[in-house]
Amino acid sequence: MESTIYMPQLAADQFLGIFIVATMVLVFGVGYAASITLSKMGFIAKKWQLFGYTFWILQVYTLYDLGMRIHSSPFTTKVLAVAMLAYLFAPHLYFYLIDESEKRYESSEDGQ
Amino acid sequence: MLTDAHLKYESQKLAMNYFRVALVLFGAQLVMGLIVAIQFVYPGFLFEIFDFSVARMVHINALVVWMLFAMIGSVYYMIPDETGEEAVGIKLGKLAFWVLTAAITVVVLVFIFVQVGSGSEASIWFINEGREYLEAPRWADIGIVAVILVFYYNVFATYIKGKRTGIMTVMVANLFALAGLYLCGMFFTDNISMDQYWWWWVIHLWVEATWEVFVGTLAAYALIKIIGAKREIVEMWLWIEVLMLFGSGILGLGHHYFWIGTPEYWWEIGALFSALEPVPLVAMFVHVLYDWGKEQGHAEAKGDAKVINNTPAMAWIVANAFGNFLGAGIWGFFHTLPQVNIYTHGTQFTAAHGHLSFFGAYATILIAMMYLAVQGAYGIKRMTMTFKTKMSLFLTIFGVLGMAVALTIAGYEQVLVERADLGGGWDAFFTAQNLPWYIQAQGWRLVMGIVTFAGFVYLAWDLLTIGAVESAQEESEGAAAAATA
Repeated sequence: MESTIYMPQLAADQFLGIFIVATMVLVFGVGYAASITLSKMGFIAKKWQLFGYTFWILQVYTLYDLGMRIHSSPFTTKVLAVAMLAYLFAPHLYFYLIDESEKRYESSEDGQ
Repeated sequence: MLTDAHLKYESQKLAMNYFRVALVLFGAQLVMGLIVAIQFVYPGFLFEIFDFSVARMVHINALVVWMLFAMIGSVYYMIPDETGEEAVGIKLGKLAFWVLTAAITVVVLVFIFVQVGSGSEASIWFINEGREYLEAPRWADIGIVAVILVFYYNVFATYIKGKRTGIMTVMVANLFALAGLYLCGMFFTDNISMDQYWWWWVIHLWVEATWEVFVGTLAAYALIKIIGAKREIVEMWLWIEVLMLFGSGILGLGHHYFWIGTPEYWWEIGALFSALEPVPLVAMFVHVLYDWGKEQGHAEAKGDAKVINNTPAMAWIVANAFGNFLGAGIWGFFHTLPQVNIYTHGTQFTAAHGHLSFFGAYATILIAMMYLAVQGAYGIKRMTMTFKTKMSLFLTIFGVLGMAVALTIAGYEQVLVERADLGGGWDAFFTAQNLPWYIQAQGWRLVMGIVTFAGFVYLAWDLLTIGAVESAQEESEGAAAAATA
């Protein structure tokens, strides 16, 4: 049976870069979520929320870089690109749901 | 932990028993870990007296069992708070506790005293079933299933009888999956690939799906208890976490199917869903910090600076939020994609990830639950950290992080030398283990293991004494306030 997966050989000097970039993907991801969260909590001004999008751009870039370094298949790369788009909207969706829940909670509390 | 005088419900008193045994088993796990760590540095240590294979097995089994005890304890503790009812079959529950404790004791003693021998049908039934992490002999396996059935009956029947909160709904559904998955590790097949296929249903679908949902449920309950977080918000977060954890975690199972002889499509499935697995961990991390910050803000607006009524438990929950992301998220993502995993699989990278994620994702939240139970047992309104709490937090976190870093260095050396340079053969395995980077990393792991053990000593000491100290302090403060008035 023909193999459907391309499994590349990695040279010894490529691993450090791969591990660092893999870490940065998640660190930037947390940075993005944290900046939106801190802005929603009022710890930082709304204008700094824009700074959070820089983290998201860096995350997308590092994920792309990781994909290149480990020679991801085109299909995986496309799905991860879609996942990154979803991740862009995810914090906003969370906080929209929270705001709506807060309103519901407060209105039900008032009614008691 | 020495009393349960202020607990109104028998279910919560039973929880205290589970926590006590969990603490003892936690200590046993660390002692076994230290023996294994010494054997990595001095391979002759206890050779043919207490072999590496046995010490490692008991180390890992003790970990699983102390966590199961603490999990069962946590559920028994939260049942009355959530449902408003006493556990319906409490007498059966108490009997099951003693049966389980006795069975675990016998299994561990057999592991220690019968270390070597031929494998037969009888040894599978009475000594060791032989499947990694689930070595308990078959009689104990069946006993565990019986005990868990009693436990599940208690949880489910109490849930049906009492209030059906969102937290308990998730708990009941999740426990059904968690308990049911254990059955997948109870039968053998002749084909080793098929056998491993089902074995991973227990291991992976526990630690990367049902256990993580369990953590989310405990965090939700604890945040309501500790900082007075709004139930509706917490439960909405919980449902989102469940969706994301199961959405990524169930098929993330594929990253264990890369090299066991399963079809190649698992590589793609495993890669994709594993890459998504850190996302719910980010959500859980944000959830804890957001709720804390928001409730603190509400409290300050009302002129009350103290929103947290149990700072030791809250500190361990915050440690859980960071630890889950760091251990399961970052250390997992390091080596979850097949292109990298083919080099890292079975090296000390796995051990680094295992140490940091089990501690960060599970031990921390279960310790938080123990502090919550101590607060209830002593009737303390506001429990604060003692010197011992701070030392236990610092030493265990520093120790486990240190172990993870040391093991990562050892694993990195194995990846470069054993796998990339020498091709991963038999000789390569031993060559890599004899190089200075590996040996020194194992030395540092031992040092950090000792630091972790010192942290555990402080933790046990604190859990045994903090209740009496804090309740005496609260009483004296109350008396002083009354005298002033």
